Amino acid sequence: MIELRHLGKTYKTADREIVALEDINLSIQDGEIFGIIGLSGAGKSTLVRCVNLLEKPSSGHVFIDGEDITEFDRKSLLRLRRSIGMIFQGFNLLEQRSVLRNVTFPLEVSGVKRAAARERATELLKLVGLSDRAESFPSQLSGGQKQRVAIARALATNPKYLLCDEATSALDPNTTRSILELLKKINQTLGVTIIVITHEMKVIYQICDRVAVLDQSRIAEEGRVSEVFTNPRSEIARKLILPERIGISWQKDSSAIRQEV
Amino acid sequence: MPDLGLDVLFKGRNFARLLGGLGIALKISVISILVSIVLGTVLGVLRQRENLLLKAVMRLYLEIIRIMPQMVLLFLVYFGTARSFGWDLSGETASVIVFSLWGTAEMSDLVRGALSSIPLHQQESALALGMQKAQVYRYVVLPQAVRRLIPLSINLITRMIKTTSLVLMIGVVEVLKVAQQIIEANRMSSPNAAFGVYLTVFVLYFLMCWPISMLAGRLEKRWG
Ligand SMILES: Nc1ncnc2c1ncn2[C@@H]1O[C@H](COP(=O)(O)OP(=O)(O)OP(=O)(O)O)[C@@H](O)[C@H]1O
Ligand SMILES: [Mg+2]
Repeated sequence: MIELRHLGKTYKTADREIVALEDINLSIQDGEIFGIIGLSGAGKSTLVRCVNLLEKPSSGHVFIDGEDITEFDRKSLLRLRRSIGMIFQGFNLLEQRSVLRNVTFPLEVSGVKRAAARERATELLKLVGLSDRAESFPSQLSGGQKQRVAIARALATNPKYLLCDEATSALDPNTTRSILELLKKINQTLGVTIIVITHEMKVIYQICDRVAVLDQSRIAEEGRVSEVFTNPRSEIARKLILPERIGISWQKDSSAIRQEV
Repeated sequence: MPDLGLDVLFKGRNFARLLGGLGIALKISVISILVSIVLGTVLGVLRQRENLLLKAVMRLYLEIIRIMPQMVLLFLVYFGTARSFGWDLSGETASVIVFSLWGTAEMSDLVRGALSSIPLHQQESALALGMQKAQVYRYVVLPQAVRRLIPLSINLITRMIKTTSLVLMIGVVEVLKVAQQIIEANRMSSPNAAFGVYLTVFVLYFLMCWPISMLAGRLEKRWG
């Protein structure tokens, strides 16, 4: 379980302070897919980066499985990061390494034997549907395929959690859908808890169980996707949802919505 | 066929002397290049740090080197230090100092550029995979930075080799100076020597720099 308690982050630049997060409280249960949505600059990336301490919170605490990670030393932090995979909008693959060697990369570095690493990577490439591209190089892949490689790489160390920061924002709608389906499959078959950051409501209702709406550094509202979608209480949630509702025949049952999309 | 004055080259030890001069030029180049690569790399890495004092000092140093023609620097170090500080530097030492100062400045620029061209995201992504800072440097930053750096630094190396011809101005007897001496000595017997001798110098420089240039072009194509 991931718990954020009174989490705050302020960036200090030369001339001013930027408040990116203010008093964030959230609990993300094991096994769920949790969405975080908000407009650009709302603080979504900052929030998710506090979960693996790529960003150090200015205040508050982050508990993962009951441990306060803000007090971790370097060693514990490295161990923690191996239990939390992360994927980004830009896929960040290493161009000079083959697909297979991109996936074995985190394993090699953490001291796993070559043969074992290859075996694991081959397994993962099969999971993401890229078995036949193991020897290709990133430059020979489409955006969707690159993201699949990034997902396989993020899963290499067998993480319990997967953080996705705008993972589909650079992709076209069809590719987006197939990547989201893959994430859903990973959640269901491997039991990986997933946090999805996005500015698109579509993404939220295609795969998320619960959602938090972030607005100007604060959580505006939080709840089951079906509830937030049918009965948005905050101004910002209405703004984000309304354009999406147009053109969708609206039904109260959220599973029906998902099938539509 | 016009008299190119090539005959003087075969008189006595003239050709051997030219090669000897070339050797001096090469020696100055090689030492300066090695110093520049090492110091330039260290400074380039340090310049990534957010240290205000270091930044100010580096800035001043780089501006001075950029503004000053190499010749002025040579005079300054060779004649200037002798006058002001009473240092008795040999021409070769002064040359190595000047070319190292220059090369280090340029190299540190190249290294810094190559390092900062690696997107921050890539490093973060590696950190998120559970790597230590040193590992991120070794596996993510360096391999990419080096690929960018190699063609650029080879280009710098050829420029340094060429520019060493300036050292004759402070009395170092390198290839160009030997050429002048040969031409002077044979003024009466072969008045056309200038063309032939300088042509030979041209060919010698060409033979030194051309393969290096070719290599740079190759690498750039392959990795660019
Ligand atoms: N390293 C930084 N230094 C200073 N300010 C920052 C830094 N990173 C983010 N910010 C600021 O913090 C705020 C939140 O940024 P964040 O990247 O979390 O937003 P976001 O919701 O992810 O936006 P987007 O959808 O555009 O990615 C913004 O105002 C941003 O300018
Ligand atoms: Mg963001």
